[in-house]
Amino acid sequence: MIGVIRYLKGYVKIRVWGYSPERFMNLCTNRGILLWGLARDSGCYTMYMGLSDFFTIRDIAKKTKTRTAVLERHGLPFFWRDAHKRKTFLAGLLLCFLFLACMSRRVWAISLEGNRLVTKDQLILFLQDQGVDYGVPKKNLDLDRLEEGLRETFPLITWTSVALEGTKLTVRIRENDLPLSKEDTSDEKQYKDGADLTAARDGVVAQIITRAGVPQVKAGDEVKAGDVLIGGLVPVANDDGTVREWDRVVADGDVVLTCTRTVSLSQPFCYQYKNYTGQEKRYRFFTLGSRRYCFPFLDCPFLQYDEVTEEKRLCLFGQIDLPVWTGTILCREYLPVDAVYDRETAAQLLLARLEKIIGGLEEKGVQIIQKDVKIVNRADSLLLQAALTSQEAAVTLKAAELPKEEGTS
Amino acid sequence: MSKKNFSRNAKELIVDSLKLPRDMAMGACIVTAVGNDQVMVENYRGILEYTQESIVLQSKTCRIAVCGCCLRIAYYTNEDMKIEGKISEIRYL
Repeated sequence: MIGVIRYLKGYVKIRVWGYSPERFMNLCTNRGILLWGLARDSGCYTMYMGLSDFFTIRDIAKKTKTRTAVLERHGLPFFWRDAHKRKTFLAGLLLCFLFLACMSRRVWAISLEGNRLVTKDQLILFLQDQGVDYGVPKKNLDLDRLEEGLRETFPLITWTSVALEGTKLTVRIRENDLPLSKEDTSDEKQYKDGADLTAARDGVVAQIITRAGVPQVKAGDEVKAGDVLIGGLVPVANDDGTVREWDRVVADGDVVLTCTRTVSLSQPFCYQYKNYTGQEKRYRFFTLGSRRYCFPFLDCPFLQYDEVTEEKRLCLFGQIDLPVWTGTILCREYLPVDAVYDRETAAQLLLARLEKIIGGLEEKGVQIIQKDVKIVNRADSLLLQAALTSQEAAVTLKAAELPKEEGTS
Repeated sequence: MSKKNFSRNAKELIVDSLKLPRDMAMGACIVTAVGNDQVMVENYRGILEYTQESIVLQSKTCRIAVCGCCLRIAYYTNEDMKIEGKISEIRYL
């Protein structure tokens, strides 16, 4: 703090030499002049004193027969004196502060946190619909309304927080972590009058465990798509064995069907690949708003080329995001070359594609228990025909309907 | 006993019996040494001699010599001063 006051008032470093410098120092302190940083330097004394005090030491120097000389000048008064000579610099400094003040009143960065199922694009589009985009004034933002709007527009979002931190708008959301339980309850709501569990594919029932409803098939039965596997109407019988009423439930159970599906893939022998010539051209660009400016301005001289773009957002002091993106575009020339696969390579490619399909099915819970693969040679291509036998829970819910003869009775 | 000594002894007696601070009542100098590189001196009258090797101060009752090397005065006011450097000796002359 003392240092700040000294800087504001200004201070000088002086050299004192002559008949009695010690007396000079004593007289200075007696008159209330603060001295600091005193040092003896080859017969002379150097010390610091305030600028206003410096103008009062003339008679002291005369009295003690010493001489003084200013070595250094520090502080705001000297800075102003120097700054008057640099008007453009001062104007620049002032403009810089004005620019920062103006720019800090707008939103320059939007950060989205906590979204998994709701995509970033969806959120950005929603924010743009609400008038929130890069460069909008901060005072126009109604954060509470934004939070409400987010919760209303996206039912998956259970908690939202929209906060402004400097020029950065941070949208934090929490999504529902228990979507399955919600689905279960929605099934109950959707099928108030009961629902049957029906087969989604043709197949043979491998296993059936009923939790709710009446099983209509048993293990080993052959079913077609749409056949009822577990009925959602539970009969309540009279004493004489006749049906008094139907109890409506949403059928539930584990039904595993053994299904067969065929896959047919074709791989042409002829193909085209990119032969890179090694010729490359790099462009630098910057994007301001929605416009991109490239340097140099010339068009790419290659006929056919790939573009690799690297983009980075400018950030001031690691904190202030600016609406300017810079980066490079690398154009790599290639020549398309026609080539032919041999039979073995084509077969390997086909098998790899089949494995990918099987992998995708297994991710969905389909268990492949048998696969019969046949590769057929054709004139211009190789054909793969596979019959995949799988075990899967291929079932769907369907609204329960009363049997006609029972419904009329 | 001279008159001067008598008055001095009487003053000391009063200060001791009333438990007054000696620096205020007798003008005694306060020397506070922090390690061997800082000395703070209060209640002195002025500098008698200042070199890089020794600083001699005048107090009301005696002279104080602070000896060492690379001695410098961090600040110097009418009330107190702070001496910095490699201090080897503090003597009362």
